[in-house]
Amino acid sequence: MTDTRNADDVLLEVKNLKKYYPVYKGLFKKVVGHVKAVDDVSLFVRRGETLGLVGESGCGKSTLGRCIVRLQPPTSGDIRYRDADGDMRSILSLGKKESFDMRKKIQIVFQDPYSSLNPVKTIYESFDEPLRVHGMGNKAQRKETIARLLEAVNLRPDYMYRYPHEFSGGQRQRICIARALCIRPELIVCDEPVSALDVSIQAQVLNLMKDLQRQMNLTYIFIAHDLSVVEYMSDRIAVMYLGQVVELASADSLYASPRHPYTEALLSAVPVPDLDRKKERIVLKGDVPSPIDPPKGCRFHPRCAKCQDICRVEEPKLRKVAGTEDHYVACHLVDTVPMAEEGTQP
Amino acid sequence: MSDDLILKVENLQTQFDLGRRVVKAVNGVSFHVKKGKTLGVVGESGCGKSVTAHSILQLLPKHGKITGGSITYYSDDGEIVLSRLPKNGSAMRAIRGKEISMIFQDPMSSLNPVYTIGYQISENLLQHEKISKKEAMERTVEMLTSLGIPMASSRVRDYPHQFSGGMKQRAMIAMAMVCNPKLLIADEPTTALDVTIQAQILELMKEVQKKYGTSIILITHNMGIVADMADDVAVMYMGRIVEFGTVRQVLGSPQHPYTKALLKSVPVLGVGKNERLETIRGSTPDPSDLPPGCEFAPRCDFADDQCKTVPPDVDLGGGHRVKCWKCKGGLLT
Repeated sequence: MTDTRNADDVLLEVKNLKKYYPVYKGLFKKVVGHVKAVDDVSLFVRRGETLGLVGESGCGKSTLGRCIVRLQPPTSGDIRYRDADGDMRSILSLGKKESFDMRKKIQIVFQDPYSSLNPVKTIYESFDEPLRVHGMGNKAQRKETIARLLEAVNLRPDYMYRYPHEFSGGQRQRICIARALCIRPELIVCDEPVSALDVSIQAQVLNLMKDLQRQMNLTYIFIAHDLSVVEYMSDRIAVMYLGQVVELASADSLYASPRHPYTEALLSAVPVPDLDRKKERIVLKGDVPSPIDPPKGCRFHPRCAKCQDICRVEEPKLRKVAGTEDHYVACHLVDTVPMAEEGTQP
Repeated sequence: MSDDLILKVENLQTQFDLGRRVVKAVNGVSFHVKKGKTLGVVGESGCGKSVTAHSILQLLPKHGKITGGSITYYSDDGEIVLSRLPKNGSAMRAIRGKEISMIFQDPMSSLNPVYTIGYQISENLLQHEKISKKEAMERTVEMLTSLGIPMASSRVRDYPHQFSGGMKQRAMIAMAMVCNPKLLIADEPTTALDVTIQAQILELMKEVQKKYGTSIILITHNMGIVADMADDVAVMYMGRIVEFGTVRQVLGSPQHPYTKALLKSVPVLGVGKNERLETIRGSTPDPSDLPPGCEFAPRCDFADDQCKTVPPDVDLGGGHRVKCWKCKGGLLT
């Protein structure tokens, strides 16, 4: 991973992405407001890296992931992806044929391995469908591909004739990962892939994902609420709060010197199984406000201990922290590079 | 010795008779809880930690039964053997909610959606104490205020769906604490909550413990929470306690191969980012078809023929005990 921002490395770019869900009320279903699930998010993902997305429930991390895979059409903003010629192209305005090809490159692994496999199809059938749809080989070749993929996730090839209910949770999640890999994608969005698993199984899946990334040069967007897991998996981490990215930095830098008060609180709230590492826990007051009517100014200000007058009025923009290479933060109280300079925003 | 104990469980066995097969969910569990202290019970799903908790209060479903062992509760008026009390008798009902109470895992589904929060909390008071409805409601408001619910006097008229997840869990704690119990059983109280809310609830439980001197049994799968909250720890695997000791003994120098592996398999914030996580191979066995002897043997790196018989409890001194053949006589390296 290079530290400097090399333009050729960037595989995916999200620009000012917004996703609003309308809220209806009354007999005539009048629109009375919007749930601002994702509100003006900009970030980029480099080829071969893992970008972690963390935040509490309802912060919009899954919605952002779904927008990137285009399971949800964004309200506004742009998502650009590097095509075969090396140019960045918007993936939201593609034609039918191009769109079809693009879906081959970006795949998703869902949180719940119990509900994301079709219970009435064998593993072979579940895998064969995308391969057939995308015209990847004849029947014998497809079967060989499936066998190879199952081996890659440490399952026996003859398991392909079994049904999902015959597998344990950890095995099912490995099957889901193998299925996402079957049409050889470049980018995989992993939406809470280990949250539903027991700790001893979680480690197996995390190790496997790291191995596969190395072997196949995959790029991951790793969404999770568990900070220790995200920190372990990711090269860079974006911390989200109420639909916005409040801090974006390399995993080491984020852990060693969190700049945003929310990141600080989040890091301190994670219980660590080490008795000698007593640390001051910052307990945030209150709950996350409603994303229908987020607080004015900085969205975190009602819960922030360092809140100043400016925080209540002006919304901070995500900007580069002064004196760092790759650390962005959206906070008035952090010394950031002025807006006028180039490359201050991700 | 028993002066400072609040609860003692000896060789508890709980089974579920499912007709064709019998599941031994708890298979000979012994532990004790000290007055005013916290016992952490850790283990993966299906290891019997919740069933142990439900056995204490005899809240088992119809096909579940305590088949052996004893549960002794040391009340102010002397010992009560809970496991001998009739399940729905008045003696057991006088203890449930009054002396020993419980916080359930999922606050979203443990509150009744058609009754107000205030009604559900004061119901407990009216059941156990001879007070008027008005007094009961006043004490409910007081309890909710002390647990950090803003405008409690109007919020008691709210229904559960009007509360957020963290507030619902506070309401659950209020319900459990309102009669001032001696022992609080918290079954994964923060698993369904976000980390920042989890931190709030854990702090709150610590405060409550300090204020009322309550003993707590904290059931969790998170080693971090155990390190933070517990004084003693019991590690469970497939219906047995494989390791028991103080938090420093168990987390500081774990002896059982399962405890060791469990501690190494979770990523810890800021530690060992580029190292591979150690995994425990295979998965947990089917509880109705357990391997003979040590349940962990098929997944254990140290297992040999000896492990096909049930290992003894090895006392390592200072109350630290391990259920493993390999730890006998010396420490496992």
